[in-house]
Amino acid sequence: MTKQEFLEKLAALLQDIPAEEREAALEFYRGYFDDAGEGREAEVIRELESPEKVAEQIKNGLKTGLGTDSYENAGSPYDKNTSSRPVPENYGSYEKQPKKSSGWRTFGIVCLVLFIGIPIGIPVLVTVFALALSALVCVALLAVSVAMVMAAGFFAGIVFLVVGVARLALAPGVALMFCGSGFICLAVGILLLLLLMWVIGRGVPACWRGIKWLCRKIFHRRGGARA
Amino acid sequence: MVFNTGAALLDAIVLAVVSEEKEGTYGYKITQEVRAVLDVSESTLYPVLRRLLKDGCLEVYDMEYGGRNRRYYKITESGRRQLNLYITEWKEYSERITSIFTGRKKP
Repeated sequence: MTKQEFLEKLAALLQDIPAEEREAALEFYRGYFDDAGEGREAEVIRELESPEKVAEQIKNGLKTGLGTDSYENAGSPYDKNTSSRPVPENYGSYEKQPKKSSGWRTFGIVCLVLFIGIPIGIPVLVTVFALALSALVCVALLAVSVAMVMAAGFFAGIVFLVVGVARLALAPGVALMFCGSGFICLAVGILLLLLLMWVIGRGVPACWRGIKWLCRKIFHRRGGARA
Repeated sequence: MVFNTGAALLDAIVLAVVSEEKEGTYGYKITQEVRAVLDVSESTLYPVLRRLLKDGCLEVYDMEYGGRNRRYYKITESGRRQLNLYITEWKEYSERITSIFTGRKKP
C-alpha cells in the first residue's frame, strides 16, 4: 500500500464522522507521513498498522471525552496471558461445587427435552409442516381453477366474437351484443391470466420458501441439540 | 510492557512531552517521543492530541517547513496546570504502589 492509498482508504473510512474532524485527522496524518521523512512510507504504514486501525482509534477518541478507558500497549503480554492465569475457583474446596451444579443443569435440560420437547415438539412440528404443505396445495389449486376459468373466458370470448361477426350482416343488433359479450369474456380472461401469473410467480415460490425455511430451522435445532 | 496505560496517564505523558519544548513540537515528533517512553500504538496518539486541544490544554500553530505547513502543538497555561496536577497525583500513586511492593512481608 502506498501513502496515497493509505490516506484515501482512511478518508473513506472516516466518511461517517463530521467533516471538520475528518479533515483535521487527514491533515495530521498527511503531515505525519511527510515528517517521517522521504522513503519511509512503508515503515510508517507498518507502524500505523492499517487505515482501519487508525480510523477506529479516531472514532473511539470522538466517542469518549476525558474518559477512563485504557490504551492497549502494543503486544502486551498481560492481556494474552489472562486466559491462562489460574482462576480462583480451582483452588481447594471450591473445586467440587462447579462440577455438581453443571451436572444438575445438564440433567435438567435433558429431562426438559425428553418430557416436554419431544412429546409436544414433534406433533407441533408435524402440524406446522402439514399446514405449510396444505397452504402450498391451496395456492396451487387456486392457480389451477383460475387457469380453468381463464381458459373458459377466452374460449367463450372467441366463440361469441365468431358468432357475432358471422351474424353481423343478418342481424346487426344481436351480432353487436354477441361481439360485446365476446370482448368482455376476453377481458375477464386476460385479467385472470394476469392473476394466474402473479400467483405462480409469487405465491408458489413464497410457499416453497416458507417450507424450506421451516426445514432449515428444524435441522438447525436438531443439529444444535445433538452438539 | 505489562501494564495498560489509562487515558489520564497517556494525557499526562503527552502533555509532559509537549511541555519540554518551549515553542512546541509537531505530531510526528510527539509520537516518537511518547513511544520512547511507552509502548503504545502510533495510531493512539492523534485522538489524545485532538482531545487535549479541545480541552484547551494544548494550542496549535502552523509554521512553514520544507515547503509545506507544519502544525505545531504547544502547551497552554491551563495545560501546565493540568500537567502539574497529574504529576502530583502520579507521585502519590506510584509511591503507594511502590510501598506495597517493597514493604511486603516475605512468605
